[in-house]
Amino acid sequence: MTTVKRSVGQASTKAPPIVMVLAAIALAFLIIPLVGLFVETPWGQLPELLTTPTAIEALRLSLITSMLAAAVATVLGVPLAWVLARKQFTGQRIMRGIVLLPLVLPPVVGGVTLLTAFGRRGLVGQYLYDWFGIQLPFSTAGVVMAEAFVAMPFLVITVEGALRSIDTRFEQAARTLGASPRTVLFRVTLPMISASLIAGIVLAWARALGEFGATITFAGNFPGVTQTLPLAVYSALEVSREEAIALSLVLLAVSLTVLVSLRGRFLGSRS
Amino acid sequence: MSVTARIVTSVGDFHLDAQLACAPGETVALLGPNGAGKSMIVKAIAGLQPIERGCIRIDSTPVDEPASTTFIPPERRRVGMVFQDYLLFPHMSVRQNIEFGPRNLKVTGTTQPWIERLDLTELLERKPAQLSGGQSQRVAIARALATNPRALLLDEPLAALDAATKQEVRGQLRHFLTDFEHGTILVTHDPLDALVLADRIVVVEDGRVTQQGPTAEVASQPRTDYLAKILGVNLLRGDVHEGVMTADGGGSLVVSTDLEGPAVVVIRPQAITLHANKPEGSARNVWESTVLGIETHHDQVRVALSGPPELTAAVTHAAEADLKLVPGQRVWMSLKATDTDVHPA
Repeated sequence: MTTVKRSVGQASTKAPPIVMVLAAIALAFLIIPLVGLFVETPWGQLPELLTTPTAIEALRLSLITSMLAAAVATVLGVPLAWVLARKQFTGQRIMRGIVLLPLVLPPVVGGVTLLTAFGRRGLVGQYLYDWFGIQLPFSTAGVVMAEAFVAMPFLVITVEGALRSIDTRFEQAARTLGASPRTVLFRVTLPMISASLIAGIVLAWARALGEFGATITFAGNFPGVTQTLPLAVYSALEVSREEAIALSLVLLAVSLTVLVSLRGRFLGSRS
Repeated sequence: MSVTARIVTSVGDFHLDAQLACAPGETVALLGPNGAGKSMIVKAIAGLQPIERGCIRIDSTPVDEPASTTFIPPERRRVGMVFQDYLLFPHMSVRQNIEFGPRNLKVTGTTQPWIERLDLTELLERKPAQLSGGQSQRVAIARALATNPRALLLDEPLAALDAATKQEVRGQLRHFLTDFEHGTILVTHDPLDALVLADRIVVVEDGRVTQQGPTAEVASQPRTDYLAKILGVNLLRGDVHEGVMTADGGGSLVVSTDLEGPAVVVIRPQAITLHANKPEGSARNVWESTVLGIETHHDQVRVALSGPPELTAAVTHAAEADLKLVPGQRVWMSLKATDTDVHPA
């Protein structure tokens, strides 16, 4: 058994030197910027840099808006994932394409589309403003919308993948045990995909936390109202390099934590 | 309660048109090769697969009748179902699995009796992943029966078990089914399951019912090639005491088993030898009987012999010619005790 394993391992690990060299360059390319950030971090000033009013405001706003965005993405995204996974209808492929679009769309374009739809003179926005006095752009609600817009696809594809991978006969068994479709969803389906659901929520939250392009386009960059952490980093770069680095470090720490805690459960793939 | 159904439906190129009935307290086996449509039938009865034409009635009330646009969803049919691989909810404990149905249906007091009957008290806090195949099956049965179903459907309930466990669980299952007051429909591709567990056999082949009748009758008089291949056996029910089986229909024979009590004995017709004169040899079951009938199949001749117990022997065409077998003729038959296959019942 062991001898077989070893010989297979040896055969597959014999790589041409060029592969090893390029792989090493690729790794360095990814690591060096991180090292740069760590080296340049003014570790001693970190407590002060992270407690300036701007930094605290940005942190607070980022936490609130990203969690709200993740909540919106979950409440709307899970049903969407269910429909994509379980229903068959014409235009399904197009619908999946639209759902995935924000993944590849430049976020700034996403911001422009939001602006054209929900801006004060936008397709929907004009009625929201004229009839209800609701103004979404350049508001905290606008930040949540921009973040949810870019974050929801992460949740949808993670949950859709999980819904496709579970055995639907468990749901049939539940029906024969007197469970209504609603009970099946909440007591069988969602608990059975809980690991993927949590992964999807965390991914969506992390994406919302790092959102920049759509936010600055749709919601602007107003400290205390729409200036989230990434926007604060961007603004700080012009004034205080140290503060930008300190705030970047916070975002990096969050990203690393998310990555480690998900352990490869990224986008429905299982480790 | 009873189930009567005429089920017409199709999936892709496969067409199913089957009619069957199951009386209260009766166990009916749907026997057939894989892909014959047996599982589709029980799914239709459970409400998991709507039918296209026909009618499914539970205790004479239609639950699925396209003609009158009647369709009772599965959660309101009160039909218990045990799936081949049990499908215990992996995120729930054994207790939560069993209580799932009663909680949905707001019935109370039904879980504890089944927990005790199926000997699950020790396993209640375990997760399904921590159960053996036999244990999982008992939990699945308790879970289905705890809803107080009006009928019980078992889809290949023994297929996932290893051979040793299968024999034991089959005996236990027979025991529970005898006590269940409503109708039970059992899907299986294993003739032994049908022989031991069922009162009646409904044979399903390629979406059609090709034969049905009391278990012993279907077992001994298979009318299709498929059935002749897997069945065509003698089936006797009775009581075994110290190696002698007293058949319910009269007569007795020496069997090879340690078992005591109610049993089902399966005897391959090929194991019965026919002789013109009284044979002398090691066979423990030797008696003279009358040829009741002769039926010719491709490569063999099946000879029905008077009893008790009535048995069918299979001989070659050459042997038939040698013995000049005709109905009414007296012949000697012999059967070795070691050629009897005894199962607890």
